Amino acid sequence: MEPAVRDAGVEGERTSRAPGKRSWDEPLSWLVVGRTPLASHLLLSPASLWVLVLLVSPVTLLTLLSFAKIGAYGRILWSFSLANFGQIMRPAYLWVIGRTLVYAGATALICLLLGFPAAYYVAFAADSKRKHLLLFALMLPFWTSALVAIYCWLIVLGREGLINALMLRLGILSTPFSFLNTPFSVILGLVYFYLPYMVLPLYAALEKIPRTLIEASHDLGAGGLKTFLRVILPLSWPGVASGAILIFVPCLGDFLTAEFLGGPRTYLLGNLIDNQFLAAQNWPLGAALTVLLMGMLMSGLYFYGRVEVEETSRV
Amino acid sequence: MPLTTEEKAASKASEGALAPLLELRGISKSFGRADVLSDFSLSVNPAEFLTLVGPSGCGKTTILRLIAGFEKPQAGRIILAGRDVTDLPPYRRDIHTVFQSYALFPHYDVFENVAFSLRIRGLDEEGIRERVTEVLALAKLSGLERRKPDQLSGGQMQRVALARSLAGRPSLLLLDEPLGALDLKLRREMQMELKNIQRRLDIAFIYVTHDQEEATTMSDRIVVLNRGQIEQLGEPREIYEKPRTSFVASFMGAANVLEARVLSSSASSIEIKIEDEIDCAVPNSDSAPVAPAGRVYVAIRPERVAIHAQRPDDRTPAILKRVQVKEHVFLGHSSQVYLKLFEKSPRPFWALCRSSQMNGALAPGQWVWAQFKPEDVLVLEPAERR
Repeated sequence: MEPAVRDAGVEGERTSRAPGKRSWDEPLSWLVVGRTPLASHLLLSPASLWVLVLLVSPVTLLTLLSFAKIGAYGRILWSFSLANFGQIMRPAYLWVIGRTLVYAGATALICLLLGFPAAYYVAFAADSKRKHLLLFALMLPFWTSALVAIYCWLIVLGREGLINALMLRLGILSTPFSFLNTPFSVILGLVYFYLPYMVLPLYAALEKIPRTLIEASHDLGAGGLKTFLRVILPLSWPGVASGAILIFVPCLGDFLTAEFLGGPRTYLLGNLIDNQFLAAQNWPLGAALTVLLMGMLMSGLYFYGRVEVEETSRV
Repeated sequence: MPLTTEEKAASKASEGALAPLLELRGISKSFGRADVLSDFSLSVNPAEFLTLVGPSGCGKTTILRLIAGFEKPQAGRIILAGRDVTDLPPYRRDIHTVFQSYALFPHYDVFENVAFSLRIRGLDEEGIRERVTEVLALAKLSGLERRKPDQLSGGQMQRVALARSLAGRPSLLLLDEPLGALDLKLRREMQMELKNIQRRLDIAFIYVTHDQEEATTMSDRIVVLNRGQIEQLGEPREIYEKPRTSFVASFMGAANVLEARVLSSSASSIEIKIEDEIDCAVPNSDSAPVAPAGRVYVAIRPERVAIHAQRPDDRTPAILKRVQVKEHVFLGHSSQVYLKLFEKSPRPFWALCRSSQMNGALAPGQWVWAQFKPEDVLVLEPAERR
C-alpha cells in the first residue's frame, strides 16, 4: 500500500514539473524551447566554458604529455611511449607513492578520531547558541591563508620555536628537539588543515539522527556505550565515509605541507610532481605522475560517489 | 477451606489495591516557566489497561516520559514494583515504550529491531530466535523478518514497534498515541488486537491518546486529564455515565452542557431549574447534597433526548417541551437536530436521533416535542460565577 502511495507522489511531482505546465511567472521562462530549456544552456555556458578551458583542455594536454619523451635540455618530444610509466614503477618512486598513501590514510584516521568527539559534542551536547559558535570556529581555518598557517606552524615547531623554547625553559629538554622535517610535523600539518573536512560531514550525519531513536535505544535497555555502538555509530557511517574520502583524496595531492614542514624523509607524491615540472624540468615524467595521481583521486571519488548513492537510496 | 470465586476476586482486588505496579507520588514538572504537572499522583495496577486521555497540552505525554525516564521530575517519586526508580535512567527501568513515531532503527531489519533489547541483555542466539519468532507471530509479522523499516507500511511499522517493545517482556508498557498515524479502519482493527495482546500477556499498559473513543474501547480504567490535573478517574462506563465535571462530560462523548440553579436538595434528589426555564427533580447520585441556591453545570447526552412530531402519551416521569427546530444535520445512520429549547440561553442544544426513526428531514422553524428523563440530567461541578 505504502510504496504505491509513494510512487503516486513522485509521479505527481514529475507531472507538475513537466515543461508544458511551466508557469510564465518563472524567470526566463520565455527562453524555454522544446524539451530542453534554452535558458539552462545559456545559464550554464559561462561555467561550461570555464570547465572546458581550464580543466578539460589542460588535463587532455597533460595526458598526451605523459606519453611523450624528454629530449636534451627538457625539450619535449611528442610520441606514444610508456617509458614514463615504466619509470614510475622504480622502487624510489614507489616508496614515495606508498608513503603518500600511508600519510593520507593516517591523516584521515587521526582526523576521524579527533573529529568524532567534536562533531558528537556539537551535534548532541551543545545548546544552539554554542553550536553556532563552535561551527563558526570550525570554519575559521578555511578563511586563513594556507601559507600563513604553515608559517605559524614553523614558528611553533621550529628549533627556536614556541614549543622548544617552552620545554627548554621548563627543563624538560636540554637541547632543542627538531620537530620539523619529520613525519610527525607533516601529518600534524595535514591533520590541522583537513580536520574540518571530517567534522562537518560527521556533524551533518549525527545531526540527522532522530533523537527518538536514541531514546528508543535507551528505552530498550541500552546504556550510553551500547547505544553509541549499535545506533549512533552505524547511522553516522555515511558521515565517516564522506569525511574520510574528503580528507584522503586531497591529501594524496598535497605538497605545500610537506614542502614547508617536512624534509627529504617526508617527500610526498605532490612534491615529486612539483619537482619534476620545476626543478628537474622533466615534464613528461611529471605528467605521468599526475595522471597516476588523478587515477587514484578518481577511484577515491568513485568510492565516495557509491557511498553517497547508497545513502540517498536508503533515505 | 477453599475460597469461593467471589472471595478470590476480592482478595485479588485487595492485592491490587495493596501492591500497585506503579505509583506516581506528588510529581511536579515544569519546562521553563510552564508548569505542566504539579503535585500529580497516580497508581497503576498490575496487568491493567490504563488510558490517559485529554486534549493536547494536558500533560499526558509528559507523564509517560517521566515514567519511561526521559524526563526527571522536579519533585515527587516514581515507584515501580515497590522500588524507587525516580533517579534511574531509562535503560535501568523494566518499562518499554511504543513511540508515536515508532522510532524503528532504520539500519536494522525487522528481526534485528525486535531482537534489540534481547541482544543488549546478552541472550544466546537460540533464545533470541525463539523469542523474536514468538513475538512476531503474536504481532502478525511472520515472514517480514528480513524487511527493512522503510519497506514496511504504516500499519506494519506500528506492529514492529509493538513487537520490539514486547520482546523484552517488560512489566509495564507505555504507548504514546501509537495508532495516531493510522487510518480509521486500521485503527479499529489495531485497537482490538492491542487489547487482546494485553490480556494474553498480562502486562500493564499505560496508553496515551486524545481520542475518547479509543480510550473507551480498550481501557480497564481511564484517567481524564486537563491542564495537568486528573479531572476524573474510573472505568469507561462510569466516566461516560457519571461524569463529574463539564470538561469530562463534553470531552468523553458528546454532551449538552447547561447551567442550572439548585432550588433544594436532599439525600435522594436535587431540585434544579435548568437555564432558568425548566424545573426538574434529579436523583442525587453522589448523595452529597449541593448547597441550595448554588449554581451548577448539568449535562444532557444528545442521544438521551427524544424528538416527537406529536405529543407522546408517555406516562413515565419526563421533561417534555414543545420546541422549534433550528437545524437538522444528517450524518448517515444518525442525525443531529439543533433545538431552541431555551429562549434566553446562548448555549446550543442538540439531540442525536437515529435517522431510521425520523420521517424525513426537519425544516428549520418546525415545531416538535423534545423529551428527556430526569435521571439523564447529569449534575456536574458548581458553575463559575459570571
